[in-house]
Amino acid sequence: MYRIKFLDRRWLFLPGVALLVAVVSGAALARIERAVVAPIPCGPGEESCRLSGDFDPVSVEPAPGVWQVSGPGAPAFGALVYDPDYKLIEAQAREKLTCGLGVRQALSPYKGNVAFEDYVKAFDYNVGWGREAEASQFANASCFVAGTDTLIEVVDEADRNLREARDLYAYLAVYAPEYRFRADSYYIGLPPPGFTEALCGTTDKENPDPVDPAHSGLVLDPVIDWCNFPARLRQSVREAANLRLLFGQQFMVDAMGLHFSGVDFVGGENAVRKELAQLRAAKYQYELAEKGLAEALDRGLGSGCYVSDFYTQSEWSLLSRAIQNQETAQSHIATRMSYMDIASPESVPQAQAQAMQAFRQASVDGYVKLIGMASLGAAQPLGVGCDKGERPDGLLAAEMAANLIETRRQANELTDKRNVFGFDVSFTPARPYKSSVPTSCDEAGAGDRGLWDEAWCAAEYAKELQNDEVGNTRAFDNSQVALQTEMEEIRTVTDVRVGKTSGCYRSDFANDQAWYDCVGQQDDLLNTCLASVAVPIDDQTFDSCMRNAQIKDGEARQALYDLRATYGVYQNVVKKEDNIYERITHSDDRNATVTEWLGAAGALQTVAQVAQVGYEFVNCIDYGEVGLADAKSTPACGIAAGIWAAMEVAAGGVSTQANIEVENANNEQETENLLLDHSELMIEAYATQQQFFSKKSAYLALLDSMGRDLLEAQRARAYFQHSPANDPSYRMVRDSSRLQLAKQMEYASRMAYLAARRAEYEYAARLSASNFRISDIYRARTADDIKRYLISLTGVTNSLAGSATYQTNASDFRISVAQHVALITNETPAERTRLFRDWVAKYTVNDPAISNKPVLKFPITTSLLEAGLFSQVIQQGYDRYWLLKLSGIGDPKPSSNGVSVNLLTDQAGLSYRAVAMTQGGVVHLRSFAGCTFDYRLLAPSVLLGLEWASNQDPESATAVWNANVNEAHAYTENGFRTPTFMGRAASSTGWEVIVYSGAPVAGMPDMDLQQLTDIELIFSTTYASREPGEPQPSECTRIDW
Amino acid sequence: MDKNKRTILSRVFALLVIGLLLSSNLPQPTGMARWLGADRAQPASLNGAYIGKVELDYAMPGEYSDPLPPPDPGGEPLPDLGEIGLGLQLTQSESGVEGYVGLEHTLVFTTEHTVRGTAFGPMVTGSFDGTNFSLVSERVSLVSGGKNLMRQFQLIGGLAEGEEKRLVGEYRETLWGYGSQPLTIVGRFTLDWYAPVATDFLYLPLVDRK
Repeated sequence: MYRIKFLDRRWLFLPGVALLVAVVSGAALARIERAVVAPIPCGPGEESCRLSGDFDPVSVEPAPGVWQVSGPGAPAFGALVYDPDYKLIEAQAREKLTCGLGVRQALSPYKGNVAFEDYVKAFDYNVGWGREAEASQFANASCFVAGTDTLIEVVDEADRNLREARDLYAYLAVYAPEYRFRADSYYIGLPPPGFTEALCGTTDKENPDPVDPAHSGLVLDPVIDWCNFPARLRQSVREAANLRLLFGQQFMVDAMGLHFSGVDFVGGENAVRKELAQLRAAKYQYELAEKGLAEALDRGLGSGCYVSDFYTQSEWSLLSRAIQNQETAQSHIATRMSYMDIASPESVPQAQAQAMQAFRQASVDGYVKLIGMASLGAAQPLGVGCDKGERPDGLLAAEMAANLIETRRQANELTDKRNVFGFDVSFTPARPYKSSVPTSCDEAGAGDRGLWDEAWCAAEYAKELQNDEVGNTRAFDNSQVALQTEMEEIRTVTDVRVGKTSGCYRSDFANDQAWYDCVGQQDDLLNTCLASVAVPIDDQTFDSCMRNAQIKDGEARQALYDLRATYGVYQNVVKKEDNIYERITHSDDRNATVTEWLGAAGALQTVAQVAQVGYEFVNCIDYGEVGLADAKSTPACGIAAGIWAAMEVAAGGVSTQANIEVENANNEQETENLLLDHSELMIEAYATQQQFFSKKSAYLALLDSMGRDLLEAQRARAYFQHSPANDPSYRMVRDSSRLQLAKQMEYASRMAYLAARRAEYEYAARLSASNFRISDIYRARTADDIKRYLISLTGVTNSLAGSATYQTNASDFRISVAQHVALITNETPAERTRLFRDWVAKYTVNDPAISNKPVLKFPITTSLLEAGLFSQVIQQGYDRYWLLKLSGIGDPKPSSNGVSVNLLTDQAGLSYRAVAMTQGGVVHLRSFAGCTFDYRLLAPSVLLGLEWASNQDPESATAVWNANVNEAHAYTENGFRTPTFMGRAASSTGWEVIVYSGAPVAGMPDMDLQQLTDIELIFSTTYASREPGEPQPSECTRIDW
Repeated sequence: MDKNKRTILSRVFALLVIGLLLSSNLPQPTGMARWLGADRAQPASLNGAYIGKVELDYAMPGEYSDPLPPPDPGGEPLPDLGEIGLGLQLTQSESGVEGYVGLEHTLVFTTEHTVRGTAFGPMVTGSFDGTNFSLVSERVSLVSGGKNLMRQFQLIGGLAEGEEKRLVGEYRETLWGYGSQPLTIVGRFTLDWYAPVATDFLYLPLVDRK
């Protein structure tokens, strides 16, 4: 006979490499010993402990053709037999699964589990891995090894239990004689302690989604067949993975969510640092989930099968999700690393390198597992008979590939110099920094609302939403607290009261319904016994009824016994009464006259008659529901009823007041004493009856109270389940306000970023040199963060050179195309005109797509450099100019005139012509220090992803208006100037000018382009002034993003 | 021998090889594009930086050197496995072709070597006969998801038809340690010549950091 002995923390390895993962992987089977042989401890890899068997189609299973290992065993312990070996293994597996399942269910958000409320939900406020945990809240204390004191230890222990259960079940699935289990009364008979149903069916009764016959809309608990070992294996796998995914997701939610301190939201760098910690914790949990799922891939069972051969799509899907979630978490980590710890421009590359490394790690992990998942989908089980599950669906590999692409996209954004908003950091928004008129956030933007003002108003609105969210969160939490308090009240008071009364304690039952059933059953059983509480003492009906083992030892049961005892007292009174009655009716004085009895003087009854009345009175006392009313229904008892009123008076007094007067008696004193005793027994009988009724009333009240308490417990639970605070839709309301806030926050952050980027341009400044990091906005997590950012920004720009205080100059410059663009100088006027017309001919275009008349279309590159165009235009003190920008009309200076064109020609009578100008390409600004900074101005709508015509260049500004001819009109005249280029740098690499030769209106002549002698471009500009001087190279370095 | 002479000689040699190939009607490798155009006039060498992508087709158990027949086209539709970026820094010498995976253009490899301060991925070695080439990477180890894994890839291909600066062919990468048997992913690579590197690349690489 072989016997399996369980010793904690010892390992036995069965077949080949790993079989014994199964028998023992966990805390379990440590040693298998033979009765006549000294115990042999089995350690990993010990040859004598390896299990082998005959792999034969003729299996121990009765079904022919089923492949099965017959007679598995090992030299150390011989063959495993059904009883006790397999049964012990099954018990071990079941215990471990139950333990792990208990923890997972306790942490589930369903059914108001207190562990979820205490540990998971509170993650928001207290990342509680290391916090002390009450193990009893999770599962039976025996599930945990000593020293399981913290939440992480509880979860780790549950994970370990579940993975061990997985391996044990895998072993059972391959080797165990299932048919023996299904014929074993232990498994198919009465449920063992702790279970409400038989463990197994004679055939598989597994039903993961039973239909509710009552159609109550409830999701019923799945029907478990503990002999369906593959199903239990898979359940163990899923529960272990879900346990990890639950916390992984919680960490992720916390990292991605809002940080609420209880008073206000927490933002800034510390918040991001906390996010990083939470994301890393989430990734670790996902890694553990994957590890648990993937270790089954190479966990052999000695039969050629692997544990993973039993996986179905559910398990593969969990594996895929665990992998993808890791990659997602790692991507979020990488994104945050790209803007963390940037204290100076020099630290940007380092931060980005670290971020890139994190992206690479995410990508490599995702890729190698993509190979794994895709290959496993194409693979077939290796061993014969291993086709127990499913191969992973190709869609899972495709999802992983899509996730990989997303990771690559994010990494590419970093390498493409796109920031976390997706903005190309080399672009500057082509929209003013500040509003042209003071802005009120309560109204639609008046004038030209600047980016800073837009961001400020967006942050203000975000602040409002944030306050709403604070309120919603607080209300939600308060309602949750109230709900929790109520549940605690139910658990600690009402449930306990019901338990004491009925003997059915909630903690003894797996679910509420079983408990309700028990209480209801007690009510029924006790009421049945109540019917026989008033039977004679020698009648065993009541005692027999109360001996029912299903009657629990509660207060109700005790009260019923008390009631019965009271009735016993009455029975005793009756007996005494019978004795006295007999003595009186057989005495010589039975015919003596009673002159006074029970306070009634002058009565003429005999002693026997009085005794008869008393006798009938006592025996007619009824213990039924209606008391003496029934007694009056019989003639004999009717006589007794006649003295009822007197009895009530007597019972209310003292027995000695019940005077007896007897005449003509031989033994007068003795007779009087007998009658006196007789009377007192009547009084006692009456009092006993009252006591009985009182106790019966108390008993019924107790049962009523129990019923009410039970109803209250049921109602409270129903309320809890249907409470708005517990309603998912209520949570969604809260979540939707969070989403609304998040969306507004993102918009405000983006606008704030654009404002800062624009400010750098408008002031030709390096904000980083003023201790302002544009990248700080990536760390903004609250509306206040954004407002602080904007206040800081405006504080810097208000103080910068180039601010309104300094930018006080305006000037209109004329650019001669002949001189400054065609570079025709120093020639005679005739030669100059000839050369210019040659130049005009070179750029004359006959393109119907532009006009049906010839046009002059030429590019201009305006340069700020020495010897460049502007140094020629501004011939004196050019190096004192900086921040040279084009004006609008009357803006920013009242004298501003925008941009205009004057055509000089020998042809008369033209008045004006249409002209189009476009500024694109890279624009330049000279800084206060004298550096020339490059900028690419881009339409904000493109940056923000709003509508933009695909055939329009977002980097250019274009205008069409009337050009003067020979100054026929003043260039300050409306219609002959354009404000389009306001705020754009005067210097650009991408100017394009088109002069239309065609008549602008009928009746006017066409213009002969070959009659042109020059073209004047008149730029109305603003500029700031500086002292001449060469900048330090470091002053010309712009690094921020 | 100066560089020009060496280039001329190598081109003459490559022409001879091409001629031999074309005249002998040697079978082209199956399952790949026809890499070498019959009218190619210039011999080629695998020197320089190549960047491109690998379109992943299918994966199955086995090693890269196994036959690994493609899945039945009439079977279940294959999942879209996407593509990966790939960059190589190659140097051809008389003894063959050597180089490294350039990390700037791929995210699925990690630093395995650092040469003159520049990080590279796995080393690759192989041969190029003027027409076809074969490259095999070193086997590299990594830990992922708690598993000790190893990776190795192979490129077999040649010059794309009409595109002398483009390499095309079959990519196979084998993963050991994820499950009980090696797993291999198969795809098609397209690599474009990107920049030259010095001939002493292996020792003093000039990496284009454009």
